[in-house]
Amino acid sequence: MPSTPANTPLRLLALAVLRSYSLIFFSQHRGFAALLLLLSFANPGAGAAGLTAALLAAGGAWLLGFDREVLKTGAYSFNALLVGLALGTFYEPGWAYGLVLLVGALLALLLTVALGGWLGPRGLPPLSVPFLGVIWLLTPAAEQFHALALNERGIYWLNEMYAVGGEPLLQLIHWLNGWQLPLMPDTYLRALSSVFFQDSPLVGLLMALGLLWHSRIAFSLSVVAFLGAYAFGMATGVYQDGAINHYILGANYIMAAVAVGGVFVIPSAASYLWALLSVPVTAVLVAGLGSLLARLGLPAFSLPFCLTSQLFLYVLLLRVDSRWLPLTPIQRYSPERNLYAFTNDRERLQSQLYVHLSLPFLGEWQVTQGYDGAPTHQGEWAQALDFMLLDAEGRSYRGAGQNLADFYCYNKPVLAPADGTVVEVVSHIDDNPVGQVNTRQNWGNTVVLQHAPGLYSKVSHLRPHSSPVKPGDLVRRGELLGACGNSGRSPEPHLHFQVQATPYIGSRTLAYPLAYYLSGPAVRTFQVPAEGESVQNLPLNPLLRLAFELPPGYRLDVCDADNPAAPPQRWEVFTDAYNKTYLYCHRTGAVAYFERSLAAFSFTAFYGDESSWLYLFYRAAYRVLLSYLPGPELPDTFPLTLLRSPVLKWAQDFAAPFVRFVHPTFALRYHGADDPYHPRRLQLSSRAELRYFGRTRVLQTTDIELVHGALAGLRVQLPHQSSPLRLVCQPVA
Amino acid sequence: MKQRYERPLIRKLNAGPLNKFGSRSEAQAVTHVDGAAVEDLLAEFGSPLFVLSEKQLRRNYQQAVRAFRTRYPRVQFAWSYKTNYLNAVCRVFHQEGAWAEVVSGFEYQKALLNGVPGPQILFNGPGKSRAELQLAAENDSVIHLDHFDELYELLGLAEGLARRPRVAVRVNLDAGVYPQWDRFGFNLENGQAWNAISRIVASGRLELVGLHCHIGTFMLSTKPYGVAAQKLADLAWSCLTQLNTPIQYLDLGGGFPSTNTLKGAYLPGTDTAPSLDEFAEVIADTLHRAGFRPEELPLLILEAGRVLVDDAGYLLGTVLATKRLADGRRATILDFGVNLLFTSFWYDHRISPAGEFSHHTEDTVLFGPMCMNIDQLRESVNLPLLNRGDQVVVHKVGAYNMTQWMQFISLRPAIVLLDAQGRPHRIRQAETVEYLQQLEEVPGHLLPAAVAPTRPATAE
Repeated sequence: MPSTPANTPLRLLALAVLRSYSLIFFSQHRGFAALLLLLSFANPGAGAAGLTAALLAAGGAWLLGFDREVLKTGAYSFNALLVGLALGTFYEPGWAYGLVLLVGALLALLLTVALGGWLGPRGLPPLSVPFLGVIWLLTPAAEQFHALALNERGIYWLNEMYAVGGEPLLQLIHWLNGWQLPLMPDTYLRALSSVFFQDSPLVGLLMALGLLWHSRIAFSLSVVAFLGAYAFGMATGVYQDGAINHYILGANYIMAAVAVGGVFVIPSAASYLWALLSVPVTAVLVAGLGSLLARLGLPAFSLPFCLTSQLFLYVLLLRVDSRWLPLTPIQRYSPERNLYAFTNDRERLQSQLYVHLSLPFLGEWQVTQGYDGAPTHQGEWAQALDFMLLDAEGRSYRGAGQNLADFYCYNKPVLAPADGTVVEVVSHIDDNPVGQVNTRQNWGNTVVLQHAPGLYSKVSHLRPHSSPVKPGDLVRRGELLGACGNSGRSPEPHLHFQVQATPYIGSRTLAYPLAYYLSGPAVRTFQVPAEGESVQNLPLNPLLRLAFELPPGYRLDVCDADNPAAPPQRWEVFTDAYNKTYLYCHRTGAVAYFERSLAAFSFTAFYGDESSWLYLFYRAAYRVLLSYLPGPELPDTFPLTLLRSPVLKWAQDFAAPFVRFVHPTFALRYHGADDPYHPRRLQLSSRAELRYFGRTRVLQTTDIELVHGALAGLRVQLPHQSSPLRLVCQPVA
Repeated sequence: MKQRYERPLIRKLNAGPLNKFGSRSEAQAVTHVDGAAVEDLLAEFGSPLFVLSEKQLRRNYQQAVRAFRTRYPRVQFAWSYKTNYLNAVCRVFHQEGAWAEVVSGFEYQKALLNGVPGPQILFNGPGKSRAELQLAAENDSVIHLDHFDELYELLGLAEGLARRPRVAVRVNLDAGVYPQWDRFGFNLENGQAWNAISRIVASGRLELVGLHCHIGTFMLSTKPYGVAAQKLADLAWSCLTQLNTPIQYLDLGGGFPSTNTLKGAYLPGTDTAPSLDEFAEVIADTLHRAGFRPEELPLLILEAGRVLVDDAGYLLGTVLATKRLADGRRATILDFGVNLLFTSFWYDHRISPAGEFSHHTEDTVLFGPMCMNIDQLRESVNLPLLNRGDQVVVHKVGAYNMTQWMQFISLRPAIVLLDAQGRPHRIRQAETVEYLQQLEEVPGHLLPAAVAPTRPATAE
């Protein structure tokens, strides 16, 4: 990231401290954080102590040179914040108290870093374990610090309120206390407020609203967990006579359920069940640990939550099959964002999961036997493809078909599906006459390539002595491996193609998709063609390839054509520490991550100002196949974060783990190339739409103009604007 | 029916190759073309009649494309207009995806009228006028330069143009073909081609996009194409490495033979002409090994003409008369001559009777109806004894005949296209006297006098 005002130390610290508050609820939401900061001052002493401790920890982390990006999330300071809140709640201010606070905050920081370093590689978060450690160390110690006085304000808090707010505040409090909330919501809200060691339905209510503001899924999980705990408590009789103690019920259930149901696991119906399952476990821990620790004179606080969450997370990490309850791959600090990014990535970003395999031939061939095909693709060798060339009448040969040479596919070049190393070549087996098979050497002449560790591809039934390669050769995608023949178990010339995990001829097959290909006129991405499909490789277009190359360091000045006096917005391509490329807008600070493969350009994420032109470009060129395909529109799906309407968005957020009814879609059409092979100019027309309940709302339509291998301009039409925005792009030398 | 009297004749026994039915002719009656009855076609559209099979045109094109595209990733065919520039034929090929290759301003206009986008027209040939060059440049077509004078003309013209004209260099080279076609383009071996390329690149006024060669016609050997492809690829490589000018396409021209039998050939064309697959094999194989990266292989353009259209064309006609020549040979006079069947100067065309015939055959001379000694279609062909009014079908006449035919002595007949269902569509009307007359102008003094010419005054 280039240096911007966004990264001054002061701003960094402010962000770190602010987010320490929201991170307690696994959030980076600044509004929620500010609300929590405010609420912590409902107990002013505790609020001040918490803020001080967070500041101390953040400052310490900065001085000690810990990772700035982690610091910015509040991860180093939220445990100190909790320590501060706890100390501020239970002890009287004074010199000794200040010293203990300082020690507690720094200890929390050190424990956070140490525990993070130990748990991090195991895929586990430290949660609030450092806070517990500090409190457990300080509580017995504090008994010997005679200068430290226990706080009694918790008992005489109305006096305190009077001192702060006078008569009006007192009346407000009386009025609020006059509120007779039913038992259940009252308990829920008090439980929430207990996260900040408070016992106030009002604070709890505001916290709940804040949680709802931050995340609908987290909120609904908290409610589900509370109800579950309530029911469990009733059933087991933990709480006799209906006297439910919110400290017993506590926030542990809620926090554990949010963690295992929405934060560390991708939210889904299954994750809600998983969260519900965590409730009795937490309950057992609350009851058991509570009495166990009480003997030691230690408070249990959030220990049950930490243990339940880590247990539920760790067992998921040790699974073999993770189809259900997938873990959050990249923490985005919002269950919604995690879910939407995950579903979107699963649909779109398969390119990152697979080695890109092309079809191993030229021209349009037909799949004559697909996966699990009837005659020979059976058992351990089921995931294989057979290809033949057919003419318009569906015949595979001309004339009588008596000779091998009559078959259209005979002697056609067979190519490497991707870059790789030749590991095995057999080329001495004779072609069979038409109609006969060689079952002894059933694979016939074969070439096996290694593309990656544990990823091999194999082409078989080649013409004898047609392979120009030998084991050890490095081949590039599209290089000749041999010619299609009729050797092995092949009654008529055809090409057998399979992917396998081991290098041997006769290895069992592996289901593996082909990266990009055309099936008839339709584009397929990361799929396996089915029997009967006519398939060919995408014809790559040099202009599109060049225009979307966007190498790091490439800069582009974007101006408004109708307002030439306005300063241009400069976009520049950067690469981050993980080798991901992004466009950065120097004017607005917006960032659009993109990915470019051999055949496609796609934006993967956008962060920042949505009024920037870069955001328009992000929506306009969301995915571009680098192949000129005039005719059908290429569809794609945007993440739901594109959704702006608050009502629709919140409704969808609530339902998201179970059902998707809003579909932001993207469609792209290619046209206007002056030469289909070497166009000097062509146009892409894209449409971003929102579909819900059978309605379609256009968000943006864009014409992208490409000229001479570069992005030349955009014409953006937004629904609420009468005339389109015309942008001109000029590369900066 | 009363049998026609024919004077008896004694002739030398010519048994011919025997089969188990005796010396029965191998000829088979061709009563239908693509499902349409010859008799009906002639009745509806008159005799003689050219017939083209759309099904065969498309099949040929698809086969040609398949032959190349399954061997080479980027292949484009440009339909050679001069082979047959009937609009219907051109449009069939354009519909299938072919570009246009034209060699004159008139053909260029035709291509535009057929809806071919300017950039998809390749303008070949040694005779392009300044106005034609200008038009092609404005339409962004590729001009295949043939000689330095054209290059200079275009360089001068390019100065006044907003966009750099796109050009390709026609190269002639020694591919081992005799006679070497060195009259078109710039010679490779003596450095002329490199000279032209250097000038084009150095001028900065033209955009060099392609290299083109065309090594001959009716090539019966595939090897020269390999040599030509290698030489062009080497030249393209030099352009890239020495002039920093990537070549977008290599145009290997045409010259691929149909299965017609050349005059004087010992074996029939069906046995001797290599298939398009064999040519594709050699060309693709050479280019794959030429050193280009797989994703940077140049586009391969082919200007196949004859091989795509020849066997889709038929000429239907009628026997006008039979007679004995002085040496006793049988002669059959047909209602079409060399003015329509220009290719009979090159090929021994296969001719089939269109109806039932006797199993007796006899060598016969086939004459056309011209009152002109050269009008001889076949010098000697073994045919059943045909009578006046019998109908015949000439095969594989689709290439060149419908462009090189002449209005000479007789008018040119109609042409029909049989669509995929075998339904006939007239695609060119038979010529009429009015059609011919409308271009002619008669000077006033040759017109019949409306008023009696004034007699010059004479001194009396």
